[in-house]
Amino acid sequence: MKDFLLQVTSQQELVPGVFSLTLKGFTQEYEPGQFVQVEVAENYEPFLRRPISICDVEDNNLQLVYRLKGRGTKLLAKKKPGDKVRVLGPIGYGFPLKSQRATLIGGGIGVPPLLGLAKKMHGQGMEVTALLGFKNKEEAILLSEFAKYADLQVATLDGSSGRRGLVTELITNKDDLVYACGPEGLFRTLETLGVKGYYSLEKRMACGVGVCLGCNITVIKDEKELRQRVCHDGPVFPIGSVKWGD
Amino acid sequence: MIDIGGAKLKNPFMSASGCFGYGQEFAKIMELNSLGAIVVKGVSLEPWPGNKGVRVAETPAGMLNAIGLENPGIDYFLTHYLPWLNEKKIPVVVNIVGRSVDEYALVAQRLNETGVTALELNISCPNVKEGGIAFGTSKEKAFEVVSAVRKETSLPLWVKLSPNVTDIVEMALAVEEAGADALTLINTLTGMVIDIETGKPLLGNLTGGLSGPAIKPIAVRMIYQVAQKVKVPIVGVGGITSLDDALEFFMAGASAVQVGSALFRDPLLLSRLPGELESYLAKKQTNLGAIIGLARRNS
Ligand SMILES: Cc1cc2nc3c(=O)[nH]c(=O)nc-3n(C[C@H](O)[C@H](O)[C@H](O)COP(=O)(O)OP(=O)(O)OC[C@H]3O[C@@H](n4cnc5c(N)ncnc54)[C@H](O)[C@@H]3O)c2cc1C
Ligand SMILES: Cc1cc2nc3c(=O)[nH]c(=O)nc-3n(C[C@H](O)[C@H](O)[C@H](O)COP(=O)(O)O)c2cc1C
Ligand code: FES
Repeated sequence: MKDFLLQVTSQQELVPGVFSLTLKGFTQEYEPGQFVQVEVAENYEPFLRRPISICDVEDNNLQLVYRLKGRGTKLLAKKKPGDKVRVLGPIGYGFPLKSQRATLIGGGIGVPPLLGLAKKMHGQGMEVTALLGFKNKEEAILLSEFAKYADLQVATLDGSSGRRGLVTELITNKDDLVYACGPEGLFRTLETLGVKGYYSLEKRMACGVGVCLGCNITVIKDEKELRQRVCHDGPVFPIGSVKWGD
Repeated sequence: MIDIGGAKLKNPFMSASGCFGYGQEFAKIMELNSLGAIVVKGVSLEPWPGNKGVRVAETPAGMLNAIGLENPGIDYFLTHYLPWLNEKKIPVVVNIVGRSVDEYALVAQRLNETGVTALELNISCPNVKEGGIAFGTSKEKAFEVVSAVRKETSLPLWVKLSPNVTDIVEMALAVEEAGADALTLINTLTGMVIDIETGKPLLGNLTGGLSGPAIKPIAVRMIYQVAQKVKVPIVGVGGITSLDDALEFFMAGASAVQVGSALFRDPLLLSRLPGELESYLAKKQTNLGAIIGLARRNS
């Protein structure tokens, strides 16, 4: 982990409201699933950094894909090539690779961090299936990129792209190790289906590095309840290990 | 060397409690030895689970926290965190929290002969429903808890005051009389954020403690007022984000300062401040002692 001052090389609106930002000079190794803490303005307003997952790193170019939400992401979207952005990372523990086959399941803005994962798995000769779910065709992102590394299937709620319905309805092989990122509802469905694997959580953060305890959750490990920090001990946790509602 | 009520520090910059954990995370990105001391997260007698729901919220020029003093308890601190800190030879100031006078006193007792540099009594945390609040906002209660802890320890005893009071000077005088060796000012101010989508308070605990630049002028004012009335040294904290901010605290009357939530945004700030102060003093051809309380002497 290091605090980098990186230069913007590109800022692109992939679909309305979702941007891809590329920053030059990210010289640290990373695991897919890890994230960075991004300073969105140089003065102290807004006060906190914003946690954004690493989508991909290629030749020290860090790619972040983010959705406009509030003040911070709006300021981030104003950055232009040549601007400098402070980025702390990589933070946390990413997805562990443990098998020869894997199913990646992404919902909405949870899709980006799975791209770096698909690429890494593909690079290691793994057989990768990517199931991506979006509200509609207009919100579908990174499809051609995923197609390079994985057998890709898409679901949309309105059926405007791929199959109509929830992304979890695309699951055919329940024996594959699952790697998921998306809303809590998706994770709960995966738990109900009884699949094994990992999910990447989101929780409001202040420090992002494990010192403030703003992001603590209860996790069940070896039948014991443990307090864990999503930023420092996650954001990736085994499917079924999180006690929801903290 | 700087002397804060018997605690000897090599420079006047420390982490603020709750904003630096027990040092292990920041050790990965900075040299902990650049600090005057580490003030660790509040430690209680038994483990505390903290608050449920959303615990942090950004606010104008700052943030609210309602962690609820989650911590693993004094035994775990002594066996899992302190040995590592002692090995690093960094002065450790242990922030103590409790729900009753006895709990505070018992934690203080457990810290005798453990090698820690000082105790900092958090009598001011506004988050915990049962504890904190009563001690920090009543001068009788504050006197009682500080006196009880004083009996248990000969370590330098710092008392961290709550700003959520009408008369900060009265509180400062009460804890000084009870035997405090130094005062830390200030803890967070109680605030609230409402989520207009749900129409409910955003934090699980409903209220939280406000920190960051938003509270800096209040901290400076309180230090200025208290420094005129007490003999013990003051450790300033609240909204420091730069050397210029720290200088305001020194000039108001603080002998040392702590940096808290600014680290969430600028994690390397504390590693830069000692060097920046030295350069400043050299350029101005002065020393820290001459700056402390300057604003009071000038007004
Ligand atoms: C580990 C992690 C990885 C993430 N990865 C991505 C990603 O790759 N792409 C992406 O678009 N978003 C991601 N998010 C969510 C992203 O952090 C928020 O959308 C963003 O912080 C919103 O900031 P804002 O100022 O635009 O919104 P505001 O609502 O104005 O933010 C106000 C405060 O709430 C916090 N906040 C608001 N929504 C969230 C949220 N969903 N999760 C955590 N904190 C939030 C902000 O950080 C800020 O402190 C991730 C979150 C986490 C915790
Ligand atoms: C997340 C968080 C946790 C805190 N925990 C403690 C604590 O355990 N004990 C304590 O005395 N103060 C605690 N504080 C208060 C800080 O030590 C400090 O007094 C306050 O944040 C003001 O300083 P700042 O503006 O530099 O953050 C905490 C503050 C924050 C933001
Ligand atoms: S955000 Fe501070 S501990 Fe996770």
